[in-house]
Amino acid sequence: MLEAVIISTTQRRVPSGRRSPRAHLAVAAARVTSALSKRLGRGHGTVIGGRVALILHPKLLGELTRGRAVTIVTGTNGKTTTTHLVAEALRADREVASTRGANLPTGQVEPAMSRAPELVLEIDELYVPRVATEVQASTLVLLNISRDQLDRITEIRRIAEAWRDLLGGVTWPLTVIANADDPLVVWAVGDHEPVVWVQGGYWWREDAALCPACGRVRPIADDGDWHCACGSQRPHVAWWVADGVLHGPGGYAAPLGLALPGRSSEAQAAFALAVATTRGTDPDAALERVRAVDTVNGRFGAVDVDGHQLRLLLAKNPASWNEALHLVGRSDAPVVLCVNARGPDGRDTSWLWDVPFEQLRGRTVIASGDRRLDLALRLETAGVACRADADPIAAVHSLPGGAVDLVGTYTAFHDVLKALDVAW
Amino acid sequence: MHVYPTVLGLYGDRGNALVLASRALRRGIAAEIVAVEPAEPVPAHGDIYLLGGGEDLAQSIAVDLLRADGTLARVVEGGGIVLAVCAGMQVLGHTFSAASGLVTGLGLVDITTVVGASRAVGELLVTPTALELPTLTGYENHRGRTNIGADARPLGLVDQGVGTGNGDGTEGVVQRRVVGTYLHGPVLARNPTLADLLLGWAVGAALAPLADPTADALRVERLRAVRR
Repeated sequence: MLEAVIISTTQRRVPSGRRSPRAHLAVAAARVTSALSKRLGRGHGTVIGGRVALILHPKLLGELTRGRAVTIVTGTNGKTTTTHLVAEALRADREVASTRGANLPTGQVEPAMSRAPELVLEIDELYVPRVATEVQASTLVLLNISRDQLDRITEIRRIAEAWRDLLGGVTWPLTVIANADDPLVVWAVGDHEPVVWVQGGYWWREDAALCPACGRVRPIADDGDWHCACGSQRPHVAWWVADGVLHGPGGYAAPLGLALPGRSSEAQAAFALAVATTRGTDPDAALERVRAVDTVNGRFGAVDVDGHQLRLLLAKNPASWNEALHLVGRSDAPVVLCVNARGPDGRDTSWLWDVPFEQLRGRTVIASGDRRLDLALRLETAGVACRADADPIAAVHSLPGGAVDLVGTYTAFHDVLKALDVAW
Repeated sequence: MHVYPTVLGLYGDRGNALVLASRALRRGIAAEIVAVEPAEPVPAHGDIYLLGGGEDLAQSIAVDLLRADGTLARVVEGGGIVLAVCAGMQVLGHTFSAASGLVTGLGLVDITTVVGASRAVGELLVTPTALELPTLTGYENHRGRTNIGADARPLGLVDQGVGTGNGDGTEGVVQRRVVGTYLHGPVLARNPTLADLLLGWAVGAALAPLADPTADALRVERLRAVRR
């Protein structure tokens, strides 16, 4: 028994002796800083540890990941959940380390410090070229592109251009797993090979009025299909979900049966299976692990708050709010909506007017968060009666017992997790 | 008439249409939002035309389509009411800069826009001078530096933020019944009096104010946050 463990360890782990003295120093510094930060109650300590390590050794990620398979997950929405599902799927037959919700390079030091033979990293859209090149990623998952934090990103097309430039000049073998439904993603992939196309969903389409390749106005059909006179069109997909059944190459079909709710989770599960099978994992074994995931960094989780079954949803831009409202629309439970406009949320709240809040008419709605007045005005204009409450937890308490859905922007959501002492 | 909302509507500017319709309906004035998509002709019978913000490529395509269509030029020359925000305002001028270089605009408003050294991003506060309105609040996000010619007037003076950024401390433009601004927010949600001014122009009479407790509270909060 002991022997078996030792054998698997030596087979799967990279000997630490290969690390340079500088990498050793940086890793040790990251460990000490993270532990200190964690003890002081400042969260996971992942980011601050990573920041210290990358100051000491700017090329640390490249050195630590050398010789290991790295999958990068990026896109405007679904990064964290997809990263989690991909890592779970691969764990069916191997040890995997993955990002914990911090998608800048500093957040990747912690998973890279592990000895796991395979890494799954969640990377901010604009950092993808830098990180993918540095770690010589073997697999790149491109989920979607739509408007988000425009005060920081300013132009959506810049993201597609950055990905397109990366893939146009890539000098190592890189398998792309990409969303065939999103015209900007398809344009970003260009002529790159190999690509595994996934029906990744693209339901909020306000950023896809023009063909990214030629600028022509071309419609997207209700079923998501699109093609342009310039020749660009929705590629044939290798993986898709229809009526709760996941379909894959070679006639593969299996009922999804996810614990996670919603159509976007189904699409993300399809991405996870596409990655896992590309990496050589058995699809049934991968799917079994994906099915069992019921919460991701506190998201989708149900928390009992004094007789209220509170479901927590994170949404941060029109496309992700569209999906959150789609989920919320399946019941008539009261809804608490929390909007902040701090750095990670985007400081401009104009996007609230792109969210189809009209579908909440007739529901019990409470507006909360720092920018509850912007939200309340948006809801009133949409014909949704609401009241404002500065404290989202007090807002939940004010409702009759039973199911409550809470949707929050990034910092608002995490404030709620902290207030409820939910681990993430 | 919301002109090309899917092309010029990047910063929640469709909210301007929603606010106008809502404030008209609350007064018993019939209102309908007509979203004109880029493949469609721009109708000539609109009461208020709205143009919003967009990226360089979208802006360049919108100006070509609007020039070929021709209706917006006839509307402006006939004294029609237009609210043009950010890229939508630049499109109405003589020239503007895009990634592809200098682009010829529709020439309906006496402004020219070049690219500035840095992007203006943040809360913008404006004291209106061309129109009888209280302080305007909103959010700007642009690289344009807009010069205003003799036939047009600045909308107002910048209190906080960048605005037109041409060195004379102004923001926005007014010419005939065209109002151009860099204010998003959307601008009519953050400034209901501007919405009512446009509606008043459309119906031919000043409108009595509405009770707006939420919008009033939002304005107080924003003004306090920016001036702090």
